[in-house]
Formats: sequence, C-alpha cells, structure tokens
Amino acid sequence: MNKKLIKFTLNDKEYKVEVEPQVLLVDLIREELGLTGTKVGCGEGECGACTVIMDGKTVNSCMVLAVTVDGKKITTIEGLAKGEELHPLQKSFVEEGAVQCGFCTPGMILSSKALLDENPNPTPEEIKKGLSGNLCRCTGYAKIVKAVEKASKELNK
Amino acid sequence: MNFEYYNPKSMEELLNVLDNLRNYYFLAGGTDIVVKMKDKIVSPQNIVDLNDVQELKGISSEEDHLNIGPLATHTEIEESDLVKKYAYVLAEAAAQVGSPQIRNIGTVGGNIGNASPAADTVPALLVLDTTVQIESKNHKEEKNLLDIFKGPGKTFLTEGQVITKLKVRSIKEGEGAAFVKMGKRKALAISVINCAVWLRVDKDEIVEVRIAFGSVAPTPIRLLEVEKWLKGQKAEDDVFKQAAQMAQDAIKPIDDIRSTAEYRSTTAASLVYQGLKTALQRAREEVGNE
Amino acid sequence: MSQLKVVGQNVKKKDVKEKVLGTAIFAADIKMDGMLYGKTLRSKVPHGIVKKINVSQALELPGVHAVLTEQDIPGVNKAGIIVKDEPVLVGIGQRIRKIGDPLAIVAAETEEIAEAALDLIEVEVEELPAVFSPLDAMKDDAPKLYEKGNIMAVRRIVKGDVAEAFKNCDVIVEQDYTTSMVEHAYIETEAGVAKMEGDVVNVWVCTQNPHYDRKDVAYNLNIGLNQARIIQTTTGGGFGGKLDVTVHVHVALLAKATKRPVKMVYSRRESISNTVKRHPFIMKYKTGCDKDGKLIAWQTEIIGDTGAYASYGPGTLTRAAVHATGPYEIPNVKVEAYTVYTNNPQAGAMRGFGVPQVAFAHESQMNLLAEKLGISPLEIRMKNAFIPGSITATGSKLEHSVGLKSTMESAKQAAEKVLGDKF
Repeated sequence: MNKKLIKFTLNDKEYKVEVEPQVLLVDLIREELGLTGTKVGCGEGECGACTVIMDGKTVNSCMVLAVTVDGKKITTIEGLAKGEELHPLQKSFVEEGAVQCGFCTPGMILSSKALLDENPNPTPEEIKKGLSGNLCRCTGYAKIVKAVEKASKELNK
Repeated sequence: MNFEYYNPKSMEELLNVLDNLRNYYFLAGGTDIVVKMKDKIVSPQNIVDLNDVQELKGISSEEDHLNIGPLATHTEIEESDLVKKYAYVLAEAAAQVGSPQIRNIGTVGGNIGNASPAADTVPALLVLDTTVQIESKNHKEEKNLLDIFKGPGKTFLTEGQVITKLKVRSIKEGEGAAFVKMGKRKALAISVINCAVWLRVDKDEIVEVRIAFGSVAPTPIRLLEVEKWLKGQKAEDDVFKQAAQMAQDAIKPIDDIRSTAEYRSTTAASLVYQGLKTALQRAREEVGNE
Repeated sequence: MSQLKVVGQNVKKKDVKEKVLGTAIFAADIKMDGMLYGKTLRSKVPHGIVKKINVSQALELPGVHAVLTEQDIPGVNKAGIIVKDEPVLVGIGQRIRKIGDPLAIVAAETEEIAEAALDLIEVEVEELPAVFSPLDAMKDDAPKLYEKGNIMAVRRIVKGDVAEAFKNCDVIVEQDYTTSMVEHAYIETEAGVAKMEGDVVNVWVCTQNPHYDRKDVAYNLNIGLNQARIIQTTTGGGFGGKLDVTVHVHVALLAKATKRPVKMVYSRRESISNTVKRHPFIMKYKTGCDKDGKLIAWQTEIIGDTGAYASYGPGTLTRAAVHATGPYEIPNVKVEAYTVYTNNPQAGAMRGFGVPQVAFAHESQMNLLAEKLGISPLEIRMKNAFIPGSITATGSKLEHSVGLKSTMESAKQAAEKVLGDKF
C-alpha cells in the first residue's frame, strides 16, 4: 500500500511516521504509538471516549484519518500531567469523585481542557454544552461539572 | 477500507485530480464518510482530501451577501462575527449540529454534499437564498442550493465537480430569521424535524418570506405555497397560526427510526409558528440579534 | 462520636489516579508479544437448525491461525449463570435461538484478517419460525425454543385470599403496564485477552463475575478450576451487563488452540446486539382498597421476556415478584411471575434486577387509587406504608427499623418549602 509520511506533534513531542491512508488517528495513537489512554467506545462519534485535542479543538479520533494530521498538534490524556504532578483538571476530577469506571474520563478531561483553554470562566450551562459530546454511563455528570468548575477556579488563581 | 488517497494542495491541482478520477468520495471533516467506510456502507476506490485546498476555506462579506468556503467548520460558522451579524440563523443551525467534537471538524460543504434530508445547516442556508458555486476543470456555474439535492444522500453534482463557494444572502434591516430544531435530546441527536424561517416586514405587512424544512421529505424543502400565501398578509399571530396549519398540510413526512409521520406533521406546525414569531421579533429589533 | 475513617469522609477511589492519567489498563489496552485477534461468526437468523459449517476456506487465508466450531470445544458446550442453556458455539444439528448466536470463532494476525476469514466460512441453516412476543411464546402452538416449552420459570406468591378480598373492596384499579428492553451501553464494550501458561489458561477480561467466569471457562475447556485463571481488568462500566460470559470462553479456546495470546474486543454493534438487556415486562395489576384508602387485595401478573437464554432471568422475575406490591402492607396478595423464552436477545441483570419495572407499575397503581378516592398520593402511601412489625407479601415480618414513613414526612416538608401553596 501507499504509505504516507506524516509529521506531527503529540503531547509536545515531534513524531515522523509512515501511515497507510486507511489508518484512523485513534489506532495510530493506541496501536502504533502505544498510548492507550485514548479509548474507543462506539467508533462513530457518539460517545466521545476517543476525544483528543487537535490544534486546540476537540475531535473524535475514531473518525479522523491519521494521514490528515500532518503538521498538526495533538494532545492526548497522557500529555496533561507534568511528571508526577497532575493537571488541575485531573486533580479536581479525583477530588470531586468525578471518576467512576474511568472509561469516559480521558475524553471528559480533554473536552474540559479545550473548554477552559477557550473560556476560563464557564458557567455550569457552558460546561454542560462543552461536555455534550462525551457520554458517561455511570452518570456522574453532576460531579464532572463540579470538577470542571473547581479546576477553572484553580487555573484562574 | 481500501482506497487511494489524493491530497491536492490547490484548487488547480484539485480540479485536475477530479478531471481524471472516477469512483471517489471527498474527505472534508470526515464525520460521515469515515464512519460509512468503517461500516462498509460505502467502499470508494479513491478519497480526495480537500483539507489542504486553501481556496475552499474562509468566511468573508460582500455588499449583500457572505462568501462562505465549503470547508468552514460548524464551529467556525457558529463563532464567526460576520455570520453572527449577517446570517445569524446559520450560526444558530450550525450550533445545533452533533457535538462540539463533530462541529469542530464537520464542515458546511460536507453537510450539503452529504445530502442528508436532516442536515441542520441546510434549511438555514435555504431561507438565506444561498447560491452554490460549482466548479470543474473547464467550467464554473452557480446554482440555487435548492436545486442541488436529488434524494437522500444524493446531489445533482457530477463527477469532476466540486462545491467551491456558498453565497449566503445577508440579513438586513427589517428582516428577521430563526432556526428551530426538534431532536430527541440536546446533543448528538439527528433532527427528527428542523425548520428555518426568514421574513421581511414593512410596518405590519409581510413583504417577503421563506420557510424551509428538513427531515420531512427525501430532500430539504422550501414551502413555496405557504410562502406565497403569507406574502402581503399582516404579520400577526392569527396569520402565523394559519400558516402553521398550512405547513402541516403541505408536507408529507414518513415514519422512520427517528420518528413517525404523525409526530412530524404535528410538530411541523408548531415549528413554523415558533419560527415566524421569532423571526418577526428579530426583524423588529434594530439589526438582527447581535 | 469519634471520627470515622471512611463513613462521612471524602475517600479517593483506589485506582483513580491511573484513571485520570490515562494509564489504567482496560482489557482492550492489553498488548502482548505474538498476540492474535479474535472474531466471532454469528447467526443472521433468529431461529433455526445449523445444517453445515465449512471452515476450510477460512483456514487457508494467510494470517489465520485457528477457526473453531462446536466440535473443537473440549468440554461441555453450555454456559449460563443460573441455568446452563447457552451454547458456547452452536454446532451442526444444533439450534440457533437468536440473531447473533455464535457459530464459529477465528484467531488471526490482525483484526482485518480475522474479519475477512469470517466472510469465508460457509454456513447453511434451516430457518424455523421465530417468536418475538412473550405472550405469543406462551401459547400452545408457538414455535418452541426448548423441548420443555417456552415458559422457563414461574414464581408464585400467595398471601390470604384475593378472590374473596376483592369482593370487599370499595375501589378497585385494574391496569396493564409494559416496559421496554434496555441496553446497558457501558462505554467500554466487552473485551478480553487469553494466554496459556503451561496448562493454565489466563484470561484478562472486563467482568463483574470473575468467580463464575472461571467455572465456565474450566467447564467448557474441560480443565480443572486450578487451570483457569480470570484476572479482572479495570472495567469500564457493567451495570449488571458484565455478569454474563461473553468473550471469556472464546478467547480461552482460541489461546489454547493457537498457543498464542488472543485478544477479542466487541464492536459497539456487536455489544448491543449480542449481550444481555434489561427484561421487558408486561404487567397486569389489580389493586383494591376500602373507602379510606387502606389496601385490601392486590393481584399482579408479570411476564418477563428473557429472550433466547435464561441468563439472570429467573432471578430477575423472582425479585420482581417479591417487590411487585411495593413497600406496602396488604393482607391479601397473589403474584405470578413468568420468565419466558423468545427469539429476542437474552435479558439478564441490569441495575435493580426487575424492581424498577414493577416500581413503575405499583406506584402508578397507588396514584390511580388516590385519584379515584379523591385523596392525595401522599395520604394513600402513608396509610399503607410498611412500618416496624409489618408483614410483607412473602410473609417476612419487618422486625427492625423501617424508614419509609419518616422519609416521606421529610420529603413532604422539603417539598412544602419549595412549592409552598402549590404542594
């Protein structure tokens, strides 16, 4: 097959990889690069478990062909903590009990991050809208919203 | 999935690629085509990625209309100051597409090319009397958006052709518009039915009006008969109610997995009524709803 | 009172740090050297007898390491939590009871090859008439899913004499209720990896039931319990839906056959169409009380559609029968709960185990009675609520604290605060 060389930044690290055009971004991240924090829940953009941030905007990595991320900047859940130090969102999710089974958590945190990067002081309604592409079935939404509010305060200090 | 991947870097290169290619699909945001390929609903031999063709991007304004690149994402449209000022009904519709993740990557051109009867941006574009610029290697033409759709998932575009620009009529003083959607929930819900309304009033009289529906026919539609009847009528509640009833009688929706014909019919009346009321209110405000 | 360590404290989940970092390992995240990928060939018809399965072409596809059918199961071809009625793989001459019944499993170098191999397996099925409504399935002339008939189990509760008691009621409400099938839709679909270690098979799998899974794996593979190890991976939601065996036995069989680690991950479509659901119920309620609203007689018939296999069906219908009368004391009760087989997806455990379905019905009955009597919905509940000393429909005497009345009282005060006159 015709492999294409792509260059992109993943969690602040430069990558140069050859991919077949059929490969999905989520498979490149999980299978080729071994970062399994990005999850697959539905494979068709309904659940948001595969959410990553691409050039500042969230996308469902299960619907993006890897070949199209050439030149782009991607952030996955693994790119948030600084060594042992959790990102304020990760900290607030832990403290507020916003994590149950944990499968939606990486996507939730990334959608929250993209939201706070654009809007540092969201209202609860804006948070709900920002997270409307991420499903949680343990239904801890109330705590997730609280966690985002808490992190927003922490980040604005 | 098994396809050849084409990635033209300019309009010229794109039109050349298309000139020689058969059995291809465009890749814009990919939110629909990638899923369809994964599920083997479609298996194209070739994929033409449009994302590096800069000429297909951007939003700008001319005297009486906006030029919108088909690769404008729903988020770009929702957040564009120009759209919010001159075509706010389109911003309203774009804001209701899918989820943030889908709006961030899904494009208005994709929404049109996909030809889903339920596409949210299309009724809004229809009431803004949108013209579509279509190009192929040696030809350029303009068509009214209404004349693009052939049936569910099908347009009248032929191989070699690509949508290169949308010309969207600006909303002016004395004009108002609204988009109303009924989905099963607020996010990630394909419309059960959606509706857009635009009107121009002179004092109490309706001078001109356009009403468009999605999800009630094989393609998005305009209600030309109802529009004709409304022209010259008084802009008042009773008239709107009558128009709503006429709209309900005019459409022939079907039962499908998302809803029933009966529900759609009843809801259609209420959407038209709400749409007319909101559009009028906005027409009477200074300049749209900035 | 001294400070407690856990109760009343904000306690962090044990694995929460890994979960927010994205380093928690779910079953689909596991990768091993030499690992193969498994896929399942499933029935496209809801009811039939398998006439032929030919795997020779699939076996020849490069990259395919094993294609297994019922004949390759070393142990017993039965699984199931309460009743062993579910085939691991439906073999030639055997009965398909729902769309999605597994017919063959494949292990290959990649998921794509495994999928391509499925297309190369030839299957012939003699299709039989199917039944999708439990009411139809209970009729004498219905297509039979099992030799012994479609009524899997009946649970009866009788207290006092309802027939006589209804004669003394001032008000009677008779109403039918139906509830729908519900999918758990945990965000993590079923997934697992199996690997042989000597003669021990290790299965890493998302599950709510490792001890049961282990018995099934040993039973189906015909190995000792000491040779089957189930390692529960971080599990992305279950809600009752991950109590049943799904990928477990299949990956174990493939790992044993190929001597390579084998991973299987269900697609969302596969997960929705082939794993257990909440039981849809059809409920007939007849409830009578005196003119003051005191309950006298209560009769309920529940028909639960358990689909093609029992799963937790008999348990769910037992629980539904026990809770059919709600938290109310009634002198005369008759409840009959049927667990019925149909050619639908099998229903099993889901949050509440049959109780949410009956709660919808018994609370509706109370509201309808209150309406007929012209009293408030709260009043009729206060008159009939369990208190210490109450005897339930099943004859249990509630010896200890019963918080229902004081809870309703608190709820009333809270509602009055918010609603004021409107309450």
